[in-house]
Formats: sequence, C-alpha cells, structure tokens
Amino acid sequence: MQLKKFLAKALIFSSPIIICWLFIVMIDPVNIFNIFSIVDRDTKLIMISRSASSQPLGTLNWKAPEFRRKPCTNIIIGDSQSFGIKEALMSELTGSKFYNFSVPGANMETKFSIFWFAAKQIKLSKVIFQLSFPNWNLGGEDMFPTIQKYMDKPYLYLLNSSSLNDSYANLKYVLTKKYDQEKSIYAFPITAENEKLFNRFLQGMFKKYKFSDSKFNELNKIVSYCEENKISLEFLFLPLHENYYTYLSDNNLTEVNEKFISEISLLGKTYNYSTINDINIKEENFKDYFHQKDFITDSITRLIWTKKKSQQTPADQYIKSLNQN
Amino acid sequence: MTFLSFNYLLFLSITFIAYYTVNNKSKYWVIFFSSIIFITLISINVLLFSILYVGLNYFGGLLLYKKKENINSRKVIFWFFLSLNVGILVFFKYINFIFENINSFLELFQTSKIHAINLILPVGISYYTFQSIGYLFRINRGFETPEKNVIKFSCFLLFFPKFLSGPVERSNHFLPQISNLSSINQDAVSGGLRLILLGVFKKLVIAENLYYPVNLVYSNVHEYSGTPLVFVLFIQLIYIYTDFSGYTDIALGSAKLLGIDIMDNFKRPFLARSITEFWKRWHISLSSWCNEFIYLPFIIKYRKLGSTAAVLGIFITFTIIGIWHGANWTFVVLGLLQALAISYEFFTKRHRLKFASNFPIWVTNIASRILVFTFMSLSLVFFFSKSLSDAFYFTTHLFENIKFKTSGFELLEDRNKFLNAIFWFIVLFTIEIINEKGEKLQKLFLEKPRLIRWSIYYVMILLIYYNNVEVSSFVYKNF
Repeated sequence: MQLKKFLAKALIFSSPIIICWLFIVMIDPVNIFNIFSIVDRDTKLIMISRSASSQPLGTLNWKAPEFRRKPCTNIIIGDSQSFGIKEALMSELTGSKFYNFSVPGANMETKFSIFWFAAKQIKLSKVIFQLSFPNWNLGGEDMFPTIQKYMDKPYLYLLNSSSLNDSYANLKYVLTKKYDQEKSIYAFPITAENEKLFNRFLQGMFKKYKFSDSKFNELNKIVSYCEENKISLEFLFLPLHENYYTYLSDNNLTEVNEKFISEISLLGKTYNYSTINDINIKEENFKDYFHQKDFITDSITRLIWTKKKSQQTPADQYIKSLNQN
Repeated sequence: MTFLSFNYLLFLSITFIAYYTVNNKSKYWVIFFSSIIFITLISINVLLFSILYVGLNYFGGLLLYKKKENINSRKVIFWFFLSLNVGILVFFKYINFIFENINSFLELFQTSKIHAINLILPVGISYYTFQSIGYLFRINRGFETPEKNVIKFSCFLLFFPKFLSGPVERSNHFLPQISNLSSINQDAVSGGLRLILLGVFKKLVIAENLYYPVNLVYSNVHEYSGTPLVFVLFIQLIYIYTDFSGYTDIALGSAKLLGIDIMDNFKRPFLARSITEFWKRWHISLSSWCNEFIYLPFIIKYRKLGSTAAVLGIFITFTIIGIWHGANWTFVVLGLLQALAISYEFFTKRHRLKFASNFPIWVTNIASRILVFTFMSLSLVFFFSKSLSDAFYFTTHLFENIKFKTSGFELLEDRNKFLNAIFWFIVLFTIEIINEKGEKLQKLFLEKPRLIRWSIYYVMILLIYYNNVEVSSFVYKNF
C-alpha cells in the first residue's frame, strides 16, 4: 500500500516532465519519431535554420533519419556552402534523383561519417563531395555519433534540452508566424566590424595549421571504396569571397591552398570554383565571406551537371566567363 | 551502464519496485540479483572476476575465524589472503608500471626489456579490494565475525551503487544493515531521491561545465603558460569536488532508496583549515580506511619510535593513498606532498596556533582555508598531469606571460554555462558554510510547503535538462 502511495506521488511529481516529453513528441522538431506531428515540414525546416547554434545538429538530426527512411543512390555531401544546392534542379539536370546531405557546420570528420552512413543504407551510385580549405582545417568533434545515438534510441532525444527549445520555437512560429532569424556575424554588406571578425576567425583557424594526414587517409579510404564499388565520386570546390584569398596571400597560405586543391584533384574528378576570379570580387555575389548567393549556386550547378546546353541560362554563361577570368 | 544514463534510471526503478514488492527476508536477494545484473551489463568478465573475489574473501573470512584460537595459523592465513588481495590489485593495476620502471633501469645496461602485459583493469577493483582487506583485518583482530551467508557477503562487495567508484564501505557498517532490511520508509526514499537529484545537479550543471578547460589544458599542457594555467589551477579543485561528490551523492541516494546507508565521502572539504583536517573531510571512506588499517596499526607497532613513527606512518599512508589513485609517479608525488604538509602541520602546530592568536578568529579561518585551497589546487596538478614533466611544466610556467587582459575565458566552450556553474557552486558553498555553523538547513527545507520544495526540485531538473550534453565519465571511475 505504501509503495503504491509512493508511486502515485512520483507519478504526480513526474507529470510536468511527462507532459514536456509528450509536447516534444507531438511537435517532433526534426522528424525523428516520424509518427505524427502538429507542425508541418516546411515550418520545421525554417526553425532548424533559425540560428547558427540550431542549424548544424538540427540539420543532421533531420537528414540522417530521413535518409535512413528513404535512402537515395545519388548524394551530395558537404557543408553550408553546398547546403543550397537544390535537389530538384540536380534531378532536372541529370535525370536522376539526388539527396543533398550537406550539413552546415559539418567538419571533415562529420562528412566522412555521413558518407559511411549513407553507404551502409544503400548501394550508392554517385557522390558529390564538396570540400573547402577552411573547412578542411576546421576542428571540433564529429557530430554524427550524437545523431546515431538518437536514431538507435529515439527516447534519448527527449532528454536533450535543444529538443525542448526547438519544439517551443516551432509552436511559437505556428501561433505567431514570427520568429527571430539570427543574422550571421559575417553577413554582408562588408563592414569594418565583420571584416575584423572574419580575419580573427581565419587567424584562429590557421594559427596552428598542420596538414592532416589522417583526414587525407580517410578520404583515400573513401576513394578506394568508391572505386571498388563502382561509385562515381566527384569533388566540388565552391567560391569564397575575395577577402579570403587576400588573407591566404598575406599569410603565405596561397601555395598551401593550391596544393590542397591539386592533391584532391588527383583523387578524382574535381570542379574547382574556388579560384580568385570575377565571381569572388563582387560583394553582391555573396551572402557573407564564406557563402555564395543562391543564384551563384544554381548557376554553378547548371554549368557542371547540365546535359544539354539549352538548360543553361545566359546568367550561367556569364558566371562561367567570370570563373574563367 | 553509467549513473547518468536512462538505462540506470530504468534499472534503479525496476530494482526499487522489486525490492519493496518482496518480503523483508528476501530483500537481500533482490540486492544480490540487481547487483549481478548491473555488473553483467558492464562486462561478463568483470562479473566473473568479482565473483571470484567474493569467493576468495568469503572463504578467507570463514577460515580466519575458524582458526581464531590458533594465533600462528591465523597469522599465516591472514597474511596469505591479504597478500592475495594486494597481489591481485598490484598485478592488474601496477604491473606494467613496475615493468616500465624496471625497463628504464635496464636501459642503462642495454639489456633486453620486459614486455608489457596486455591487461584490462577490472572495474572497481581498487574499491572492493580495500573493502575485502578491511573485512579480513576486522575478523583477524576479533572485532567482527565473518558473514556466513555468501549471498549477503556478495551484497557487501558487489552492491551496485558503490561498485564502480566506492565509497570504500566497512563490513561492520554494511553487513548488519543487509541482515535487517525493512519495509518502505518514506523519509529514506525521499531522502534518496533528493540525494540523487543533487548528485546529478552537481555533475551536469557544475562539473561538466568546468571539465572542458581542465581537459583542454592537461591534454596539451605545453601549449599554455601563464593565465590559462592559473585559471585551470583554481577551477580544477572545484571541478573534481563537484564531479566526485556528485557521484557519491548518486551512490548514497541509490542505496538510501533501498533503505541502506553507505558511508559519505565528503564533509564540506573547502571549509578545512589545515591539510590534516582536509583529509578528514575529503574522500573520507578512503582516508579513514587508510587511517584505520595502515596508519594506526603502524604507529601502534612502532610506538617506541615516538614522533618518528608518526611521521613515517604519515608518509607511508599518504604514499599509498597517492599510488592507490593510479600507476604513475605523479600520484606518488601527490601523496608525498600531502605527507609533507601534514608532517609540517604536526611539528609546527604550537607555533602556528601562537601566531594565529594575534589575529581575530575569522581572519585566521579565512586565511587558513585559502591556504588549504591553494595547496590542494597545486597538489591536483600532479593528479591531473599525465607525467611528472607535464606537472613540472605546469607549476614552473604558472607565472610566465601573465596577461591581465586574458582571463582564461578563451579556454571556454560556453562562457555563460561556465559562469552559471560557478554561480551554482557558490550557492552550494554558501549552503555548506551555513551547515558548518550548525544550522540544519535540510530540516528547515523539509518543513517548507510541498509547493516550495517541488518548485526547487523543478528548477534543479530544468537546469540539469539545459546542461544535458555529451557528458564525460566520472573522474574517480578511472581508479
């Protein structure tokens, strides 16, 4: 009798916690449970991208289970630079379905884990691997084990505070149709302040630059795996703003950057748009120092993967000419 | 399975329900089976090893008692089982360290080296070895009769809340309880849950947010000098206290849920006014065990040497305490530093008291506590460093390149969470100061209406929830 009384008290005490968990399950901000949800898909995707802190893990938490549910033989792996490549456009151009598995903020370790995860889900046919020199040097932990943990044990997602934050953000948006989109500290137009932050970021990144053999070895493993399994593997370098190349030049890193790209080129077909050219000198082509605008991404996509020249627009030809200069 | 996992919560809940469903006479079976399951979930090999240990010491205790009248036989049996326990511990924990040092010596003569043995340290071995030795000691001295029920004895060594990282429980404290288990006690259960909540709070809200800079610096100590080292110097003691006392609270709380009291490890250590006092308030189960089974027998045996025996006893005891933590010369130095400090206090007590009498009590209290904190912080450099050279680098580069503009915050992943952790540590410390003065804060708290008590619990749960990230393991699990 006393035990029952105690258990009843424990249940009453736990009820707010249980209600919170039910709330998270009902909102399901990253579709991890995928049972039912009172919030639509588009709202969830907007909320995932609302801030620099919610976007990386939120995107991965969304994409990995989604890919596991519906794997695709053609994938794009990358970071925030390739995040904007449109799957519909790729499908239209190539005639094949593509899944954009790019994750903003993903470092190389995370990208490698994404590749191996995808390769386990389905026999891959084509992999486009977007790389960049600053991202190659990015430190930090591999984000993938976290999402693997949630995929294996979805209830653990309930114990993470970000899930409550994300659920609340979704509900608030549904009710008010308003949300605070965090602005990147590097967002253009160029100011003295954001230029200072940008240079400081690069300083921190390249302060202890050391060529990573282990990352290159891991990439080689992927190249070998693709060769053995007849998977088409292509590499993509997207443009960065001119100030980045200026920094490399001022700090004697240009040669290192070029060596990096040429070594990647030896591993497989490489589309290199990361050269100093007329695209990068124009501020209006970029959202910030690291990210080209969507129309540039679309043009580059059309230029690389179009089967018919008629699919390219005059703007694409113009972009092509800028890249060649 | 760790304490901070959903699996442990589920396991504890099921054990709790099963425990209070069975009658009182069968309750120790629930403890036994739940401990077996807990250890099995860690590893089958650890289970088999610990069952062997139980068997060894169970029969050792019975044999020792059987020969109690025959002093010579009893002596032989006692030393045999003691050597066996110590030998197993030394083999698993220190053999490769011994080989390493022999190899360094052999290098001088260019002879072939001894190869390291590929060993996995059985989880919890340091703790249940000491518990077993204490048990045998007490039977040998006639202070205790052996436990004849092998299941109850197994509960003593394998009891799951204390299996991984202690406390180093005493048989005379634990075994009588296991023979008198009773029905659900509302106060004990509530007290247990409060302790678990407090333990998780200390670990996740405070310790985890101090872990990152400590780990960062000690992983690459040669990359730092000056301010970052000073910063880590002063937060590392807070980090290890909240981590270890957090673990202890969860262990005590889990045991209390089942109506069992196990030894507490901490008694407001930051309020110690001397190193001697510090070790009566810090890792109490270990320090009191060493006092009872190493220091006191030593000074009694060699009492004719007077204060020399006391000093030797201090050095031996603290060297063992140091080396118990791990197979590294840094831990030996850690122990020796404590011994040096305590010996100094032993010989200078009169002079220090005379000097202190020139000042108001509150000044000497604060000054001595600051000195204890500083000394222990410096000692911990040897606790956290991977090698003696790292430790010496740390201590010799503390005041190099001190830049007052840099505050050490550049070491932090999340500045707000760090400041939050310091804030909650100050709150806990304030509560400890009030408790030290004799105010029964817990009693006052329990008299408050349920709404207030539950609100405070919810605030703690919310803070725990918001600090729930990928957690590091408890520091003392490594020993």
